[in-house]
Amino acid sequence: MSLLELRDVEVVYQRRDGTLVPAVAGASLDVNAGEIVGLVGETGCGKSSLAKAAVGLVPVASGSITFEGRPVHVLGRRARPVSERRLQLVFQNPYESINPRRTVGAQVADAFAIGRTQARSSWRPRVEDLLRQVGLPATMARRFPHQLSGGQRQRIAIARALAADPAMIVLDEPLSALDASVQAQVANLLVELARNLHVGMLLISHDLAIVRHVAHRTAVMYLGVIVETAPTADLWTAPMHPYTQALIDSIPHADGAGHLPVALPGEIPDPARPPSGCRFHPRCPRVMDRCLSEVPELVAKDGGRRVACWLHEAPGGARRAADGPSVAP
Amino acid sequence: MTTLLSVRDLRVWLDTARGPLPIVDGVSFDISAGQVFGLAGESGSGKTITALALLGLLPAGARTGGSAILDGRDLMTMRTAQRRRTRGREVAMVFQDPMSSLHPMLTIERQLTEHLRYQLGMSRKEADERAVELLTEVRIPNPEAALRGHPHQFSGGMRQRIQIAIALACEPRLLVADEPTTALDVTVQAGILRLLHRLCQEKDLAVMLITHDLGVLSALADTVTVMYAGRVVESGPTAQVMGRSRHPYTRGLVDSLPHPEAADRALVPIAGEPAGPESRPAGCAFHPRCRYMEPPCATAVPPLIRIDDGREMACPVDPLVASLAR
Amino acid sequence: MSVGAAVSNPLASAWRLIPGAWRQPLTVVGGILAVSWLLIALLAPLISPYDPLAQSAALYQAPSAAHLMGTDELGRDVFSRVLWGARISIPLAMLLVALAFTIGGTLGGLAGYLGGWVDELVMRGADFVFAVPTILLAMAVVAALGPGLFHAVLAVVLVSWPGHARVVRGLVRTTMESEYVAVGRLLGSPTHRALTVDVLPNIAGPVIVLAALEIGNAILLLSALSFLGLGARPPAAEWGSMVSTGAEHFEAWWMGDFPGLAIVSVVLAFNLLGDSLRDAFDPKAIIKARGA
Repeated sequence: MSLLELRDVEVVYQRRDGTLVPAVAGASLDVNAGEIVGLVGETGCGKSSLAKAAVGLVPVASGSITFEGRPVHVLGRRARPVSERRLQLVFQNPYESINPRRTVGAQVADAFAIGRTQARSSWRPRVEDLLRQVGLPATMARRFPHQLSGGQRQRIAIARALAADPAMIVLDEPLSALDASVQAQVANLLVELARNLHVGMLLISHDLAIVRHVAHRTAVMYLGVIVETAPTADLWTAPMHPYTQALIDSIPHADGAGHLPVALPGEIPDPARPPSGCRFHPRCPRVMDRCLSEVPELVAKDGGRRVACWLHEAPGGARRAADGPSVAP
Repeated sequence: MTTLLSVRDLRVWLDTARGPLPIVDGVSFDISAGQVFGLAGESGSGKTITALALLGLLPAGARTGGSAILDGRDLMTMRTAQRRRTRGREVAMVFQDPMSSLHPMLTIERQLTEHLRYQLGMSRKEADERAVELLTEVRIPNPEAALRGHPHQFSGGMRQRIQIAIALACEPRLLVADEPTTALDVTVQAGILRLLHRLCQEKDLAVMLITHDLGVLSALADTVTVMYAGRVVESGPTAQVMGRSRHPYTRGLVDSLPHPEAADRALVPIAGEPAGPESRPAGCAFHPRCRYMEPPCATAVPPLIRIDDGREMACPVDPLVASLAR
Repeated sequence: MSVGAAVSNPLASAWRLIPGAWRQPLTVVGGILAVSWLLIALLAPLISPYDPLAQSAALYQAPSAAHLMGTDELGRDVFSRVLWGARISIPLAMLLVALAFTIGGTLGGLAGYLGGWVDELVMRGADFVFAVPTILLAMAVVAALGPGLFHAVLAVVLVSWPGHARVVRGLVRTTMESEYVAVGRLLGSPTHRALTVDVLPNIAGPVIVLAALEIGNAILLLSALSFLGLGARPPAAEWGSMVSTGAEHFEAWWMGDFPGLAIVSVVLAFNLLGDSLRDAFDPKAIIKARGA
């Protein structure tokens, strides 16, 4: 049993005109304790909806989400069950996920203060510990959010989640609002926390390159479905799904070599009207006849990989594809 | 390869409650026709303000100094009317968010042909034909139909292409692109980068590419200037500045990025936060974050020194710079 | 010179304690005016030279040293009546705004918090009140209840609660939908805690600003009702009815002009105050002013 299990999750939104949009159309994913799983995809692929559903912020239309073996409830008006408080979420934009009118110390102390009656000051040592743990001076507890930089705020957001003594943190694009030099600081902090505290992390990101440095396993999402999951190193060296390959090829390299990235033709379709068969087929450079009509399932391959593509149809034939150099597991 | 725009000692002060604040502090660079000039920097580096100053689009209350010579005329001292004409015909700008620079209520046709008719005095028919040409140029499928559409009917990538088509309408010689791909997905970004590359090659267009993304810069730029807290720290050919960066800041930026070939190598962040104009440290602005800091760095602003391999850098601690200074 | 320095130094340091937003000249004008009117309301019995109801002097006297603002058609001292008028208008306006806020704020808070049909009901009710011109609706209410100051107050409460309801509902909704409330909820905070910890501090500032602005409005509306003969009844020294009587005696300009000026200055004072409070309640501005 994994720490967090998503099974065939569907999340459906209603547009203003009444159309139902399946933002997530059947996604399954596991995250274990101490493991960082990257969930990568482009705008509109449903990765953010999946993140919110995973912690119970939005309801699932079908499928199940279990945390520590118990189902995750949708957040209602009442207080969240204690058993679920060890499942936390960090948002993308630390300018919105922190209350501008409260000191950061008070907000980090929230997890301690809720449901307890002790004086706020009695939590001060623990708050200061948490601040140090995320690499901030303890004196910062008395500051207001606007006195902090973006990177410091994101550390506060992480400290807030850590205060709940989480077993699992879902992070929704935690790095994308930060400057490059600060991004690496926070990325390294996540790796360190997962290792030292044995926290499981589901890291949502549009940036495959940074996920590669942080995640143990990576899942690639396209238009509401997961098309490939694999140990991160294998995913990079030998991507099986043509979309994964396209994502990797489109990343520009900061090496001064002047290598132009490869563009993927076409646009991401409207999730309300997904293409028939394989959802990627209109943009796929290796499309075949059956891709137009038959939906490929996410099937297990060698080396802990899964892929949903007709190119890799034969069971266990993970290395058959000519997408890239074969790598021994 | 001729120099099209030559910027010397550009300075910009913005008006704040506490008096004028220097945002850009003595920036110099050259842009050549048919080349992509990259201007890199994090938030607060002054890279966008530099571009706005060249185009005369600074907010009210801003003061400028220095010169920017385009064809023997100084953009910084031009009169407003002349500058407006220059902005339309010789220098064009592409912004990060096409949704805010395109008019949401007007058709693409109207927005494209307005420039052609106002700036070049074309007839309606000529302008329409040219508009189709332009949309074909930026690879908009079915350009005749696209002309009748409104901005919201296009995806982010398509809107950015339309914005570029509008910028190209009067055949400018310099295209200033401020974070043109930052709001786009990587697979779409790659297409825009290829488009800019092709335009630059085919039309002998000079492109000033402003971005925080060193990957984008590396892919496209021929020369790169790296800014930190309003000053240039390193500049030169991309292969040198990005491939073999020497300045501790540039080096640190490159090391903090995910590396394509070495996945196992940990990300090496730069300690601390980027300095902004209101909190710029004395001396070398980077010194509080610098691993190689020596006492003089905290007091004297290091000058840009040209070293053998065609680059200029502002770091007195660097052995090559030090040997030249001796 | 040494005396001047000794006097100005403590003044200057007190000046520096006042947050920056309060140093704007218009804020100072508004503040001084409002404080003066509050003092007048408080001290009217002590400072007014005559009994406001006593018909002791000659009729229609122009302003003079004995009667600063002249006398009215019954020989009452206009100056004393203007001072006493503050004791009616200002406390009533405050009471009225407090009532309107209690009703509007509660309804708006419930609408924003509960949503659904409660929200629909409250907001459609507010829309109805907004759709009818304020003074007409107030007049209709007083006409139905019968004229009198108390009924006028009720009428003004009835027409002014929707403003409070809208503001509070909007603040509650945007705050409850904010990411930081979501984070708090995920940490186990029940919604009522989010209300007190996150929503209340966000609401306090705008609500105080609105209250200050509404006091001005309330005074204006009350005076208007009295002017129309629907509010204060004779012989009460109420500004609106004094302006009304003054209008009938055009040649004795002092009878209407001075109470009119009183209305203008008190409304202006609270509006200026409200605008400055709006600036002051920006948390960034407060911190900056303190730090500077």
